[in-house]
Amino acid sequence: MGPVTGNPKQHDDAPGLTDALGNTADVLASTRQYLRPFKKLPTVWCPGCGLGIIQGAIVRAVDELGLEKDNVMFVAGIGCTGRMPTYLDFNTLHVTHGRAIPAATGIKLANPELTVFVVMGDGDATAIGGNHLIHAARRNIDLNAIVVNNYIYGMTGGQYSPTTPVGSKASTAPYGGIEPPFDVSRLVTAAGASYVARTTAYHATKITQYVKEAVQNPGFSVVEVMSNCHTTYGRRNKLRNPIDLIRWLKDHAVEKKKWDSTEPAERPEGAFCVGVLHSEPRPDYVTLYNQIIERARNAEAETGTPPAPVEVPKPAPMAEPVAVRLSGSGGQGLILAGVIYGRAASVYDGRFAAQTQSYGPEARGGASKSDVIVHDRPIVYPEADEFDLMLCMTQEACNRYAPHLKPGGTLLVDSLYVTECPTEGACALPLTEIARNVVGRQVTANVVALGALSVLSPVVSEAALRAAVLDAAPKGTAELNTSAFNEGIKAARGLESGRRPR
Amino acid sequence: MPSSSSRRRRKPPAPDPTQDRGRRFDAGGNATETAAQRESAGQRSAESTSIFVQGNAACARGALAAGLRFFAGYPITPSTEIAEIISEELPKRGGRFIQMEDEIASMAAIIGASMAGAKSMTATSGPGFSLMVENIGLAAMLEAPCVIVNVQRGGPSTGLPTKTHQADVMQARWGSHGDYPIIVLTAASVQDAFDLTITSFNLAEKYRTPVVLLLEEATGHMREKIEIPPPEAIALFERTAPSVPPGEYLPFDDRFGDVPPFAAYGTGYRYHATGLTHNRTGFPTEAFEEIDELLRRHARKISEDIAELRLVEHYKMDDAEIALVAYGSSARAAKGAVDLARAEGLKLGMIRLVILWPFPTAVIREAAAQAKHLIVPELNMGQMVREVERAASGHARVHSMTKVTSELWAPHEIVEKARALLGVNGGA
Ligand code: SF4
Repeated sequence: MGPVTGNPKQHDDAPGLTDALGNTADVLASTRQYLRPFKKLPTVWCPGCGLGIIQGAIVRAVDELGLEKDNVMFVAGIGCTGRMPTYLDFNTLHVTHGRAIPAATGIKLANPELTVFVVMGDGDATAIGGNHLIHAARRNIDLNAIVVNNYIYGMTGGQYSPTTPVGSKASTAPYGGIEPPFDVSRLVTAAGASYVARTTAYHATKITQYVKEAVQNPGFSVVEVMSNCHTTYGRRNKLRNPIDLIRWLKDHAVEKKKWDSTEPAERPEGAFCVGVLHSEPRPDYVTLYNQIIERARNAEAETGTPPAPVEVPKPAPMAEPVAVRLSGSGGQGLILAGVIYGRAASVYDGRFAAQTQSYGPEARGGASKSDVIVHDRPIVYPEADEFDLMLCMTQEACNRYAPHLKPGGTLLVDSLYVTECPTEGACALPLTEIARNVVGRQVTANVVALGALSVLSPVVSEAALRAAVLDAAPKGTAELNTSAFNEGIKAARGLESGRRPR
Repeated sequence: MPSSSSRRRRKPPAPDPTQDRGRRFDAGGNATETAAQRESAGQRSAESTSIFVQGNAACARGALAAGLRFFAGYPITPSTEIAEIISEELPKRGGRFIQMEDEIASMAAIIGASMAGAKSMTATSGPGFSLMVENIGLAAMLEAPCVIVNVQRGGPSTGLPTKTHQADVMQARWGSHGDYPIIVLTAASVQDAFDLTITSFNLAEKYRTPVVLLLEEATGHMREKIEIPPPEAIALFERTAPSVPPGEYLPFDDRFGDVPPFAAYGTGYRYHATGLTHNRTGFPTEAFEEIDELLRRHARKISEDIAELRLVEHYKMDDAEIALVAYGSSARAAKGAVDLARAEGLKLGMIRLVILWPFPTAVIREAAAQAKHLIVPELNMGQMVREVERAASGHARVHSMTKVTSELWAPHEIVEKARALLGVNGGA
């Protein structure tokens, strides 16, 4: 909600006029000051359309609330109702059909100081924009939605809308409608709007009252105004005179109290309930989001200073790109191992590295792999058909990937899981058992493997890998991961010389 | 070991000035010196941060570095990491994130936020981009600065969510109905994803336009090392504010050039903006000359004649007889192909299109005057090659290389094509 001064404005320029409904000149003057000062009038609306009454009633609410014009925003979509902001001297935006609410959502989140109105017809709000309407209600974004419900698409010539009553005729329902209509107010109430009121174009002062209450409600508010489209709806449904149609609205509007105390049969056919139908204030989206900002900032403050830089000696030059594949099954931490490996090679050893991994259904099946290409030059092709260095932590991964080991390449397998190795000269180490029994945590098997790889392959230096492992270690696990890394090194060094690559 | 974020400030290792680590772009999008050149000139101080991240993460960090204030999005593979990172990082900087009900709403929301003055962005992939195109037209019409990232996957329809393609390059240009200009950039590396996100924001702000940044699943999900310069070393362009008082302000005023000064809603400049064709006052018009004036100004504003919108990288083009015209991941392979071919004595060069739209016609025309053949490798059925043909207008033979298996181009495949054109057999 924008700033409210609470002081209704005084109008000393009131000319001595009375309008057709007998309103006083003061009312006219209070309306006129909110209309665009240059030649936007007359409106595009048909003579007698309820939209003029509704527009007047809304600006009187703005006036009575004492809102500053500069702090008021009107957003609209497409349709006769959507033209309203054109005439109003506020910040105004006219967007695509149905999208006024999401556009207004962006405005409100970018500048919560603005009091944001969204004016929509029934087609705009509940057909093409229906999804946006219910989600804004659910989120309780502090927008004031005014849904002008005239049962029809007026601007395009009278096609049936989601609120056209069953049996009513429309240009696209020449035999009468067969689709049950939405009850807009009940729809948004069910969806979570925190303030919902309904009235009609006949009850102009009620519109003003409900719009004011909507603005004062800190959340998503809906004022549904039943209106007359005599031109396209009335003409096809025996209510072609605007007065007749407005009178029909008056006669079919049943006050909530009376509505609740009567049976449907006691009400005229087509009757609808009017009044404040729902009011249950709760914190709005921006208020809750501001708490998130607070929390996020506090969390940021707690993380403290980053650790001191680690210097790693410059590695030997690399003539050709080296391809590394770390494979196993999901949950063995191989993706992370690949990330650590790539980070060690690039950030610490100063080379180029590109890491990729399996995604989607492939990644959810048994096998998981993470590939790293390392080179001294920019990596033009981040994939490989054959690998210089490979880790296989399951039998399945070994069966699938070991055939892609380059001749003379290095293969490390976890001897707990890989019992049959299709390749000669693989290095087998009980990586998982070391993690479980020596280090004390099975999840560190990937780090044990990295320690072993630092011994078995010169691609990435031990110092670089150690530094990258520590970078990735969650708070308080540095010791555990260092121990896992060291155990991996120890195990690899203990391999018989014949089983170690030259 | 469970994962945790890992980032560290450190002195970068001694640089090798012969290595090109990708071009960088200044505030206006001009290609400046390479990162390697800057390093060798000592401009990359201990202040720069090296991180090893995915392209999507680099994009998110680029957006934050560019001053992002609002993000609206809807989850979709392979772009989701961008939204995830921003949802965590943006509130720390006082900005706001929202997950909308769909991509239509996301696009509408970033337009609204942009009109209220916030640097705004969304990220998606093909199916979501298809939903966004409606309001990309609105952003063009409202001249609302915003950035739309499309991490391309295989299509059409749901296609291949986790596989890479480059098949949205035409949709990015022509997706919405009507005649409207748009800027489209595309990244070849993870460093690019960071740099070009910043460039996208700068161009959006400078030209009051939606900018589409095309990544690919391959670059979005790949991890590489990137250098993040300290904030003071990143040049940012902010939209031009009005110089006139509110009473005299016209939202689509062309008196100050083709890009009208921008006033955010809520700053005292009350005005009307609409997706309807409008005149300089912002109100709808159907006057012939005003319609013409608006659409022609839009077209002039983002025209290929603007020199700084010719964002391309020339690689070994000086004496090239065959020019590879490539973009995105295919440009990496093309660069590798140039080096492989040169080792065999074949004179290949590459023009990497960093900007796809407006298409740098003059650059290609020049290349066509020099080279006998232009080869255009793409991960689609041949889309940008049509533009290359148009620009070459018969001065060089243009050859399309298409691939839709969702595999990347490999350098040797491109070299083979070049050998065939030159009548050379075998090779190394
Ligand atoms: S068509 Fe109907 S809704 Fe539209 S202006 Fe005319 S009466 Fe009003």
